[in-house]
Amino acid sequence: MATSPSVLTFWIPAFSLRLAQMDRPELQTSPLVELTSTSGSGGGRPRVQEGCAVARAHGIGPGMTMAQAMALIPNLTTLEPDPDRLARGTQDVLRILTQFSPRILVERVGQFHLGMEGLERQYGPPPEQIQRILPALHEAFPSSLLQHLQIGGAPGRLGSTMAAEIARPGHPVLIPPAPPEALVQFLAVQPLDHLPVDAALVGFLQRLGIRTVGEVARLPVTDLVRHLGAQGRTLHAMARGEVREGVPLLSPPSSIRVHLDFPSPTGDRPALDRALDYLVRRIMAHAERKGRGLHHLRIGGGLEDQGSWEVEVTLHQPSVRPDRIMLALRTRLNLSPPPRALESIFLEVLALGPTLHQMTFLSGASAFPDGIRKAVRDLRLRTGKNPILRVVDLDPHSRIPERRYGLLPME
Amino acid sequence: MSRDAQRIRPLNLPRAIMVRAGTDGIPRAVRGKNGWVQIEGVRESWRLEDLWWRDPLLRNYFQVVLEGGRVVFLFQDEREGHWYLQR
Repeated sequence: MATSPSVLTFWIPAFSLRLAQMDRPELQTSPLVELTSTSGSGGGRPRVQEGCAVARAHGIGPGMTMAQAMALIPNLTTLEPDPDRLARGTQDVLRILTQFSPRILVERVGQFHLGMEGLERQYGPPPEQIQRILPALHEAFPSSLLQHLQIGGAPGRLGSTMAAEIARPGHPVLIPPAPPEALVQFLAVQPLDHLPVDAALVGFLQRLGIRTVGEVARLPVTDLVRHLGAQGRTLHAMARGEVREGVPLLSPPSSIRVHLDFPSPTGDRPALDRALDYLVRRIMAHAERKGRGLHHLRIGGGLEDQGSWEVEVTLHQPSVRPDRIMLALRTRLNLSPPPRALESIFLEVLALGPTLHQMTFLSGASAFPDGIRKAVRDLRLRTGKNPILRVVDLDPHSRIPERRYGLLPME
Repeated sequence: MSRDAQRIRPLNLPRAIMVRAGTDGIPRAVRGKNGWVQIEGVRESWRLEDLWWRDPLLRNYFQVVLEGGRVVFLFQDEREGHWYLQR
């Protein structure tokens, strides 16, 4: 029988707020909420993104306007979103956890899954694994942050996430890998809204009177598929404990990041464009790019007074041309400008495209590397057919699927 | 260019497939390599009418979820009555 992946989940609810409290201890005693970003055309008025325990106890929840929240707690402290601080805090936790396993996934803010399969001989069973990991975390973080840490463990990420959800700080909830029914029994009694699925889907099921995961597991799968499509099948499999995904290997963070500090805060668009142009040119000259085009980028910066701002840009096709990259960045900046003046700006590469050679090859130009050209010629002589085909657009928006794309032999 | 046009092979041509449909015309099972596979649900269905001026095309498309969770596109050619699988 295949063994299920062993997963530990470390979860710090309201991670952004906890980081702010760690940096500014005076916030520990204030009722506190983090607001949503106001950048972009759809930004509108800031709303509550997350609240501390006191704020939640007073009825403040995500999506409330500031006026609504202030009506409930007049002396409420509000924090601007600070994605830069959050990214640094996340990296700090990752730095500790990578000492114990190369399999780590950050599935949502403040939630870290650690794949422990195959490591039992080194660290012992899950309770001992936790006893090894906790001191390392305590060395790096103050107890003001870790006192909120909830730990779960189970065969698979789903069970582990739900175990961490109900765990109290200092009291991990661990679901044993055997017997296999242990996970099913654990899931069956959990409230439906603890399942990590779309909130609208949970709301739909709750309106039908379904309250627990076990009730979903008992529904006929055909009924779920009829009403919810493929999502229904996934939900059914989750509820029956059949989804036991492990944790993938952690991808190393991008090392191509350039930044610029402004002499004084600026929100002036021409100045931001000039700064971005300068950063793009620095990235193009970066040794680690190794001739590859830029594909997925992040722009961000520190806001005047408090908080930070960032947006991501994906180019339709990887490019090495600064003018094309700048066009994409400027368009994104028009859609989601920083809400206030920036004290600094950075540009980070999240994904690179293929190398220039590969791009030339894929685009069908004649400048193939010699080795490939020879291999193609040999194969053509041997088989009598052209062995390399490329996909060409015929009528990509045609209603008739077989008329959209074609295969054309490459010369 | 015309030489290129002659050498182009269309991608995603429909493949004939055996389908069991109900009296309402909705597919219930498809014939796979290892026998019949039940259809657990129809996610979407739509009708395609095109090329009426030259070579009329009348297709009833269904996006279905097969037993096991795989999602496929099927259509029935209304003129000839045959079923096809298409991605």
